[in-house]
Amino acid sequence: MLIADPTLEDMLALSTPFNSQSSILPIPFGASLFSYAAGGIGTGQMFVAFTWSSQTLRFPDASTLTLPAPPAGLSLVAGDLGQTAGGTRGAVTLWARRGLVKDGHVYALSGEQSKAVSINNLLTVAAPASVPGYDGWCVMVGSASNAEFLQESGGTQYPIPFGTNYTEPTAHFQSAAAQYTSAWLNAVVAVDLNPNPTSYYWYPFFDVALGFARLAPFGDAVGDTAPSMADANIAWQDGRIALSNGGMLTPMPNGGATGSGNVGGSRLT
Amino acid sequence: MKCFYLAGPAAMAAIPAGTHHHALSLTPNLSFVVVEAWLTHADQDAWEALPGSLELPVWTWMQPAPPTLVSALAGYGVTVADTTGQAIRKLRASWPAARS
Repeated sequence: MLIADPTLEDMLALSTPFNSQSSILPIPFGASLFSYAAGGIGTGQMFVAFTWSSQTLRFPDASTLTLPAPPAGLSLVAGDLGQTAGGTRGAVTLWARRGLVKDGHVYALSGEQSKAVSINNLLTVAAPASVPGYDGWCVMVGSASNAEFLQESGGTQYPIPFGTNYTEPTAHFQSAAAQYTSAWLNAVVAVDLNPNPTSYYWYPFFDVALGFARLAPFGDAVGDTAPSMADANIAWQDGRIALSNGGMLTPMPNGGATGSGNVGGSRLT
Repeated sequence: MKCFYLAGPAAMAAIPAGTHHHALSLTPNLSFVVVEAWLTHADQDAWEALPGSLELPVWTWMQPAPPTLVSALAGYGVTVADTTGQAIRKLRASWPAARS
């Protein structure tokens, strides 16, 4: 508490007025905060899905801030799926999901809906409402229930801008990217990774301004296969609370196998 | 110190939240588990007492691999001729977390 207005000399003795950063001291929270599930088909189609429970972060002045759990899945109703003339294909039933994208990672993946697509027609999926803080949205499409593939090639943008509906490319949906499993629900999913013998290092952080947890490195098909000071720094930048005291290591299984574990957290606890 | 186990679904579900560990699903009913560090001794003692978990202490790694481990890791090239340490080394070739 100030007992008198600071003088110019006082002000010049402080670096704070000249420093735009807002350093955050270590925050204690639960040990091994994150659960992960690793799996996938094979090279370029593996994933790591992170989940966690809401945490109370305690600042040095004993004030608190709530780190929310991963966001709930987007809604997706039958009416969100449609079709439009195009392509060359027989009648087929397709399944689809949609989610949010931040930093190349998938958030808030929805449940699935199916659509009987007529001969020589393309599947369409309505864009979700824009969600502040996210980069866009994504769609997963497959020809079997609970087996959708992330769509990000063959002409499909990733992420798809909010406000832009998805229309299946004329060459139809792609099966080159990561494939859905139930581990993707209520999770943050890093996609299009590689299988064993790869292990990835992740640097999670709470973005105070956005109000949700994020994961470095950024990008789909991007993961650190060795510790990265640059990506660790992303988690420790101003306005962010790092959620791991080091790189969270996720060893990848072979394609077709699944791994799991608890990592991260543990700071001061 | 790391601890190594085979664990069934019930034991897997009972790993205390926040325990730093990695697991590889070998079959729908069996996982290979590496616990990097138990949060408390009580956690460790309680979990190891659960049915369906088999500890693979490092001091047994020079001994022949137990039949359950041989069977579980057969797909990774493990045979009855392997010690526990050799079996885990073979698994390590397919899953990097399998190391002491």
